[in-house]
Formats: sequence, structure tokens, C-alpha cells
Amino acid sequence: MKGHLRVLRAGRGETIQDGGRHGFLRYGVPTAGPMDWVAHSTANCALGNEPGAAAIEVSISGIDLMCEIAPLRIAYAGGDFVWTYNGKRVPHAAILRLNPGDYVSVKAGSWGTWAYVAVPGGLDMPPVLGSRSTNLTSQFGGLDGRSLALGDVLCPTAPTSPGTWSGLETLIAAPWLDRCTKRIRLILGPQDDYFEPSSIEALFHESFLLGPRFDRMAYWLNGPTLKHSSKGADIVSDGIALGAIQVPGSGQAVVLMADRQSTGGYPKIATVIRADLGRVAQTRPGEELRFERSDPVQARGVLLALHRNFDRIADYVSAAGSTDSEYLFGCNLIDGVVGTARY
Amino acid sequence: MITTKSSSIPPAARYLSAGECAVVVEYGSIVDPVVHDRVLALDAAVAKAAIKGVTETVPTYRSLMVHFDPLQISQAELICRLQEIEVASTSSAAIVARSRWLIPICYEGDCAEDLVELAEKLGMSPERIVSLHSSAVFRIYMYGFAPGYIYIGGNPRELWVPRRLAPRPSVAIGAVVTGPGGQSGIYPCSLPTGFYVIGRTPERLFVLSRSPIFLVQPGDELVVEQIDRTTFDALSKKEVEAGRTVIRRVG
Repeated sequence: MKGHLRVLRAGRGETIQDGGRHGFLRYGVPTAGPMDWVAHSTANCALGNEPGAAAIEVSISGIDLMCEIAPLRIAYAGGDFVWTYNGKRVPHAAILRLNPGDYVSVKAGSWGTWAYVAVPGGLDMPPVLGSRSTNLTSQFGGLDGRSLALGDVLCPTAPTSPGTWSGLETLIAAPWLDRCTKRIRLILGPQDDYFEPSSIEALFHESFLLGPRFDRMAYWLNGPTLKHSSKGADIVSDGIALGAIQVPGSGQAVVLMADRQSTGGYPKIATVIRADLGRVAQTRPGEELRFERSDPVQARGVLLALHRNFDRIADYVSAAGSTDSEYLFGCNLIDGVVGTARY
Repeated sequence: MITTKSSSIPPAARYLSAGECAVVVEYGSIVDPVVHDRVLALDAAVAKAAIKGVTETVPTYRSLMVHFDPLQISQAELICRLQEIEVASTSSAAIVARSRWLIPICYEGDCAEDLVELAEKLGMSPERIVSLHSSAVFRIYMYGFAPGYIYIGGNPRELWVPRRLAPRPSVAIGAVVTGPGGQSGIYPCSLPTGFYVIGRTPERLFVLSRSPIFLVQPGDELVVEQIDRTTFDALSKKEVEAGRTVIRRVG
């Protein structure tokens, strides 16, 4: 018998996401997938899952979950959310072992917008167009294409070994999950030639703030007006890459995220490198973003290094043993571990 | 501004970076069947070449977006491979499989809620609009905007019209719309539109529970079978709701 999670409370933005729906962009189907794929992969890899296994995506509004029927291991990671286990504070990235009746509560913390809860083998539900990711706009995938609600039951694919011990199993001390700094690397193109040279300068030398409008489709930035050249602000529609920075006629940049449309008709000045996309995703309204110029060779190197971390995830999950999590917090060890190295 | 014109000179490709995980192969900046044919020829050639690391391709009016996994192939390597394929696909002169479909469209009553408004705007009778639209040969350029939404071109010039000032928050499934620059579309589900709704098809362009889920391919052509409201209702209820398709391949 497998333990499962029951949703005791969900905000408005909690969905099921796997590695994304690939192969159907040509039919207009958005990729969906996690907003912060790095945190999503980390939670999955910590349990030995495939990086793209289906997991719960938690938005800034948080979620409360209860274990039922039988023991269940979960791994979670994301921004600095406040996680509690049966009312007791636990680290913001960890593996927990739950017994029936145990509950986990997640609320927004000091930074970040998205977090992930992974279960052994990934969440068990039928794929739609090859993916378990939720497409909220077209209402398919995940749980009936909708966000999670009170009473939903979420089952793991793989069982958890029986036993009576429960609690904090290990920390996930993954330095790459530190997303406080907002230096975001970009590759120019594909339509950087639709902008004045001064706009390219402004992109890399001025700061941008995330405005009030942000969702799984796009993050609308406030910043310097990026002026289009004489070619104008409308183009005949072409493809949109994940992380594309689109600039409509207003001159204000919009970063296109997981639920973006497959094609669009505004010039795209640059693209966020894949390794930094989670940093953009974890930004909150009013926070600053600064952009640095990168190139495909550097971006590939950074991505490769990140993937090597996932392969060596065991080095980053440290046994908590009998150490009390409140003691760890008292020593500020968790923040210390998580706050050190950056890739 | 979207412009449509016909050129006969095969356009040269530009290779544009769209991050380290995608490349755009661009043949032009306009809506043009010649440009589009080049995109489709390259798309077919890339599919045939089965390049390691290429995850999917997205053909559009004027470009092919190639999504890839940079851990399996670098962007520089991929561009080299695409250039080889591109040269070969140019010389093999765009042999793209293309179907022509007969699609039933009703231009009556609530199926055509903006027809009278458009007729006033264009200074022609509603019958004239229907006659022009129903006798056109449309080309399916691309999918985009939403699953199953097709961008179609070939709308007669007399029907080109700027967007409505107040977009409709949602249109009926199957709504056939016309807009600026010869752009038309058919809605696979209820979505907002700034275009004029002049007809409606009982066909569903995207049904997850049906095989095939998607019915048409970029490059295919559509011709109209004009139907009355009674036929529309009959096809909707007896055929489409039962999971059958009502467009027919005619070429």
C-alpha cells in the first residue's frame, strides 16, 4: 500500500508540473513545465527520480498537505519558503519522511516565488500529449488541467519502505538553489536588430524591476524604454523560445516563461540562458533584475555544470540523523550552507 | 505592419540565436507563399535528417525554429548541420506533401456575428463578403496562439480589414475570423479575438480524445463548403459530437 498526499489548503497557483510537454509546439501547444526547472529537478533528483518527473509546483500562496494511508517520503526545494512539519519549522530544502496523519505546511518566506514537492517515482497520473504538466489555459494535463484544490489526492508512482520513524531525513544543501542575486545572463537575439543600439546598452547597464504582473506565462518588467529601430515593433509571427525577452510597442520588456505561446508577433531582443531562468522565475514584484551578456558557448558550459550537480546530488544531501532542525536553524547553519558558493 | 506579397526569388537563410537551446532559420520578414515553402522544405529535411539533440521544430510564416538540447549538440555544430541540410533542401526544390481540405462553414445568423458590421465597414453587402470568402483558396501557414489555432492566408484583398476597436473577450469554438493583411483564423476553442467573426465551422481542429488530435498541417490548403444553419447543427450534433471529423480531403 502506498501513502499519498491530500491537499488541506491550496492557494490559486498550485499545479502539477513535470519536465514539460515537448514535441507539440508546432501545433500551438505550450510547453508548460516548472517555472524554476532547477529547483524542480533538484527535488526530483534528491529522491532518485528522473529530473523531469511530475511534482507539485507551489506558488507564493503556499499549500498544506497531509500524508494518508501509509508512510511517504517527499523531497522539496525552491525559493526560501517557510516549511513546517507537524507545526515545527524544517529547512527550506530537504527530504522528509511522513507517517499517516503528518502534515506539511508551506508559506512564502524571505525570497522566492515557486517551490516544488517531489514524491518517489514522480506523481502518478496519466500523461496528456506525453506530459503530466498542467496546461491551465487549455485545461488539460495534471489534475484535469486545473490548479490544486482542497481535498485533492496526489499519489506517488513508487512506494516508500515501511517503518514507523518519521521526520527530517536529510537536508538538501544545494548551493545552486541560492537565487537571491538577480544577475541574469542573456544571449542577444533573435531580433536584436529591431532595436536602437542605445536600447542594447540600456538592457545591459540599467536595472529592471519586476512589475505587479507576473504569471506562468510571462513576467512584465518595468525599466528603461527599449526603443525599436525604424523596423518597428511588429513582426510577422515567428517562434518563441523559453526565456525570450519580448518587447512590444510600449518598449517595456516581458520575459516569456513556461506557459508562453509557441509563436508571437513582437521583436525579441534577447533570451535568458536556461541556467538563469529559475532566478528570473523566483523574482518577486518590486525586486531588481540586472542583465549580463552571455553567449551560447558560455551558456552551455553553465548548463552542463548544473546538470553535473544533479548527477552528484548525493554529495549535497546530508543526513540530518537525530539533529533537531530547530537546532540547525539556531546555528544558522542552513542559511550558511545554502548561502555560500554560487556557480 | 504585416505585409503580404509574392516574390519568386528563393530567399537566403539567416541563422539567428534564440538562446543556447534554440536557433531560428529565417527566410524573410513577410507573409509570402515562396518564403513559407522554403520553411516547410527545411522542416521536412530536418525531420528526415533526425539530428541528434534536436528536440522539436516549429514552422512559422517565415522561419523555422529549431529547439535542441545543447548538452547533446552545440549551437555551432547544429548550425553547420542545418546549413548542409539547407543547401540540399534548396536544390531538391521544396517537395512538401500538401493536402487540400474541404471545410464546411456556415455564414448565417449567430455563426457570423460580425458579418453585418463588417459589411458596413467595407461598404459591401454581406452576400458579397460570403461569396468572396467562400470561393477563396486558403493556405494554412502555421499553428500558434493556442493549441490547434491555425493562421491561414489567402483571404481576398477586398476583405482585409483592421482589427475591431473593442476585441471580443471570447468567440465560439469554430469561429472563422478575418483581419488585417489577409490574415484569417479558425478558433479551436473559446478565446478572445480582435478580428471579425464572419462564419463558423462545426469542425474541431483540436480534440484530445480523438485520433488524429490535430487535423491539418502547415502548407495544406482549405477550400470552403458553404453550409446553412440546419446543416451546421446537424453536423455538430451527429458527427462532431460523436468524435468524427467533417472536413474532407479533396486533393
